[in-house]
Amino acid sequence: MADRHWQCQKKAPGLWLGSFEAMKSPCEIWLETDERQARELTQWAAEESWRIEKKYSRFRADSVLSRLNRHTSQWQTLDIETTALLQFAGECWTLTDGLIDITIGGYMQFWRFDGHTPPPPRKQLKQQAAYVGWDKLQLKDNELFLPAGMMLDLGGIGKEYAVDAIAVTLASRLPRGGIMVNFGGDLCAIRARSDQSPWIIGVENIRSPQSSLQTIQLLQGAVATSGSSKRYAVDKRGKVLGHILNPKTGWPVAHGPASVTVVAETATQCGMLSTSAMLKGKHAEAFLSEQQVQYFIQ
Amino acid sequence: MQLKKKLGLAVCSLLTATQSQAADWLYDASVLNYSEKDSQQQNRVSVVEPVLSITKQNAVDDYVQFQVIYDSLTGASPNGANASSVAQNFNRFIARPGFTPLDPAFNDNRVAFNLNWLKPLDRTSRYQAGLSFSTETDYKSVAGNLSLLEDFDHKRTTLTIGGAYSYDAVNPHGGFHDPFTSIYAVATPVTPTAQTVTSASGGGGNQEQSLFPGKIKQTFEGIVGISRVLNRFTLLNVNYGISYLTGYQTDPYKLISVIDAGGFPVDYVWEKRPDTRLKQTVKTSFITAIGKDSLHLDYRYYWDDWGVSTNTYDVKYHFSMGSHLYVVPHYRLSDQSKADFFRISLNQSQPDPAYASADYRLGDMKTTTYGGMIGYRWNSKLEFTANIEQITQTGNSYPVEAIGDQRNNDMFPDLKFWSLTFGVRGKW
Repeated sequence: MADRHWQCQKKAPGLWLGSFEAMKSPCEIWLETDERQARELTQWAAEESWRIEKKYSRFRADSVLSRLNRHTSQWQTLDIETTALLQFAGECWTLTDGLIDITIGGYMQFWRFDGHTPPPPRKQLKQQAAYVGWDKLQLKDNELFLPAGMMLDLGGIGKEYAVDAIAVTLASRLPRGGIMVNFGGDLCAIRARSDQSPWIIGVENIRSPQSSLQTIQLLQGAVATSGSSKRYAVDKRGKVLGHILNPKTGWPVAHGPASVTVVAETATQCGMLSTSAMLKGKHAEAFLSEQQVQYFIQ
Repeated sequence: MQLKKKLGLAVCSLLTATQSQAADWLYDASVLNYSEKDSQQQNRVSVVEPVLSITKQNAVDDYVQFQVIYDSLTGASPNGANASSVAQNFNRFIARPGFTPLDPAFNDNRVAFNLNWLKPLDRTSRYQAGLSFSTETDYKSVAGNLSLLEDFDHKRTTLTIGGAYSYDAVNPHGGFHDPFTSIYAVATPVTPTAQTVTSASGGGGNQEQSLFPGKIKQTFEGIVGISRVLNRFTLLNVNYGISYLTGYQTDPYKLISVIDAGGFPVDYVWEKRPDTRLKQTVKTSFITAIGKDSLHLDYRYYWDDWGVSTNTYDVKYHFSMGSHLYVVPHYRLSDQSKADFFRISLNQSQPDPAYASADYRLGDMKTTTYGGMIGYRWNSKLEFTANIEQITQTGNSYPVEAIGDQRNNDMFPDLKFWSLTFGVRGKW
């Protein structure tokens, strides 16, 4: 972590913006407090983000996640945080009828969402299907049994979890004053600003990323977006495919929106709902309108 | 709607499970140094005391702390005899004319361990518990305490109810002595072992078997306190404490001069204190924020059934100088009035009283402290502190009871000392 830095700048009297890079996103911590607290809390938030990233990144061989994926076919004991995350992932799998499934790590390893690498052969994905599916692993209290060939991926949960966990801790450490945590568009405005002025959030325009499609005015709440202009795969003919894989097929979902943005109480809820909507393909709009949340589809 | 709510509940479970994860490890290391000197230019006690504490903190109201204290005491301390115009011979040392006799063999090393924890019970209550153990060559102590803290009125008021118990054993070098017997008496004092405690020595030692060699003292304590947030800036605290001590409380090293009609010492005898003591205190603290600074005011009234009572006033002002530096000047005044059985000496021609002690610490005494602390916060993980205090202790140099030669000598030389503490604390 020698070359990872954070900074803190004054945006207005009594309003500070802490910023750093984590989980491949620009991260922002907005705090209504004094300089000393803002710097102390930004440092803590940055270090906590890097800790979570280091622990659950599938790109790091030394991460706890990679270690779990290496020790298949044996019971492994999990720490409290990992146990809670996996139990949560299981709940999401149940609640979304299998749309949210962290065992898609098995498929993810064959894809590169860099905009030019060709997709994996369908046959390879079909063979992999035997090793994907939350119902195939066993999670008993803090013990995990991951069958050989299976791989976990927390990419769909990790960032929103970090946003919420950091926001909750900041709220307990700063008893008064507005707080917003924003990791590249997945954000939680856990407390409104003191003068009740809203937090202004821009929803990125997929087709022209430099401009905002819309702005959301949020007093308090969370926003997350699934689908992105930055990460995508292409098929043999160069047609853009998304980066959200359907757990049933291993292929990016077809006929779906380019992006879905959801507003709810926590970033994690937003993330789960927006991802589920994307995976409903052409039924995304119908699904979202049933959820009684504010949303934007592109 | 169903799905969003169910997801919300699942997220709640996730966050509460993982919130308890973030534990901080805090450390605090300091060294205290002090040296006493009296107005007769005699060097008294010097103390060097390093302290180290390590805390595992899950939250502000959830931590475990382990502390080690090492005390190294050297120097000399009054043995209870008063100054006289003649030289005084105490076998091991001789006191010069006009000087308060100081026993030079006051060296000792003490190690103490404290374990302390605070845990929440539910949203508005928590308990604090502690265990301690202390040992030096002639004294051992084991103690435990437990308090319950309960919040009311949206955490604006906190009620504390607690109790403590302590089991101490003193096993002095040279053994115990019968009170009011001469220090020159030939009979060899018996040094008790853990199995047998003689009843001949001293008053009130326990007859039963004891954990440690020597004579036992037990202390039972209770406290009740209320803390109230008066407004956004101000906190008020009121505590009442009561403790009951039973067992051997005489100082086995202290003697009393026996004087003749002319005020000259003709003998020295061992002191005697009661074997029970009931102590009570009432303390109030007031803290108020003034801009970025704060003011702390404390007042404490202590009284016991030995006749000792003390008024203590303490004021500190915390100056916040920017985001790194702070300075806290400090003033304290403590005014003690003597125990009923305190006397500077015994009269040869009069019968022994029930109890008597010439220990200056039980006498009329005024202690004044001027000091200040400087703290420097390097960053959120490291802080340095330096504390310097000048303490002056004065008593009755020419008490009414002084007769003859005693009137030509200082019965309570002023004591002045500097205390310097350096500390570093932080978290990793």
